[in-house]
Amino acid sequence: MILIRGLYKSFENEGKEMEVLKDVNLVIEDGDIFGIIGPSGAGKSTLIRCLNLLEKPNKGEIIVDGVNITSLNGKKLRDLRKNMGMIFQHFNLLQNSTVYKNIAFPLEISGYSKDFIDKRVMELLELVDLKDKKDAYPSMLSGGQKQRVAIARALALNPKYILSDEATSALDPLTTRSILGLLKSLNKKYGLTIILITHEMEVVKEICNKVAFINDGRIIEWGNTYDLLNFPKSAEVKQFIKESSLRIDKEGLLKNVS
Amino acid sequence: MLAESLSLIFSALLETLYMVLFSTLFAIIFGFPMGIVLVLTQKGGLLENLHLNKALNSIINTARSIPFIILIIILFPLSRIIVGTSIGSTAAIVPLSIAASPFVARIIETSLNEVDKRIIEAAVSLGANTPQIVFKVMLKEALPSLISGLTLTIINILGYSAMAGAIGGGGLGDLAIRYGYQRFRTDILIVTVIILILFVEVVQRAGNRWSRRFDKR
Repeated sequence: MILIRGLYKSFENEGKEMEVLKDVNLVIEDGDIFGIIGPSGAGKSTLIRCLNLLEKPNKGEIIVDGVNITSLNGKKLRDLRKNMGMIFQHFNLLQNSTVYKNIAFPLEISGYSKDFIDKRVMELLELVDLKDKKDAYPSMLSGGQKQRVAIARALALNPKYILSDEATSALDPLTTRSILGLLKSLNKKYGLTIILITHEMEVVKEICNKVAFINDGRIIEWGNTYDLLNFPKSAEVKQFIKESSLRIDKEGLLKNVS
Repeated sequence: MLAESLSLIFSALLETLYMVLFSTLFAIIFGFPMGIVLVLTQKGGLLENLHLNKALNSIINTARSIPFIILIIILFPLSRIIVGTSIGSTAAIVPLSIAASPFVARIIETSLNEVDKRIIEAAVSLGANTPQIVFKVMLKEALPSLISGLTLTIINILGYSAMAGAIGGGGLGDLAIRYGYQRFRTDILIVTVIILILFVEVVQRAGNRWSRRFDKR
């Protein structure tokens, strides 16, 4: 379980303090697929990056399974990160390493034996359905395949949590669906808790059981996806839902025309 | 006459190879850690330390701004301390290594900074520590560019070694000046220049090939 309490984060930009997160409070329960949605610049990326301390919050607490992580450093911080696999919009794979080596990376840095690594990597390749791409380099793969490699890499150390930073935003709708399907099956099969940020309502509708709507550094509303999407309380969330459904209609219309 | 000239050229070539090989080696030994420290301590680096970074930058810039021919003269005493003499190819390795180290540091710095920050961040998110990121991510991702940089370094040192030769270091540069220029032996001058051209050509081609071979982007 992750508890976020009174979280603040600001950046200094040309001498000016920019407050990016303002008093964020959330509860993410084990087994959740927790979506954080909002327009660009709302602070979602900063928020998810605080969860594994890629960004250090200025104030507030993040309690992961009973431990306040905001002051962790050194080995304890690295161990926390190994328990939170992260995937990214641009995949961020090692370009000069094969698919196999990319997935082996977290295992290698954790000092596992060659035999163990080999067994685990083959398992993961099977899981993400990329056995035949074992010796390929990332530049030879499609976007969806790259993201599958990244997911396998994030899963290598059997983390409890997966952080997804706009993982489907660079993918076409069909590939997005297959990646989301994979994430959902991982959640079901292994009870993996997934925290994802996105600006696409479709992603939330497709897989999230909970959702938080963030704007201008504040959580406007959060709760069960069904309740929030069907009975939003605030005008902002209503507006956002309306706009995103309009956008979907428009795309649908355009497709029909062409 | 011909045999004599050939043996002159051959021993000069060996001296040049000796100077270039060892100077490159020492320049890498000194420049490599400097380059890594530059990258790690810079703003936003994994071990950000702006004071150390600034100090190292000043040292490197100072060393690089001294004209090589003057650096050799300044370093005569140092050569004498380290190798016991200030003339000969071995003595020339001292200023050559010192002149090339900051160059190597910059090459390493530039190459490592070309690595996509997002890839480094992914490694951080996977729980890698700093040495693991340097050796398993940065250096590996930058390998093609590092090989190109090494090629550049060797060719640069070759050029410098000709200058070092002129003031007592021996080698092809020395031969070209003493025989080709001062004794009007145009034939030796021409052969020397051709050897230098071939040397650069071979190093550059090999470097390009290796660099491409390791580039999977």
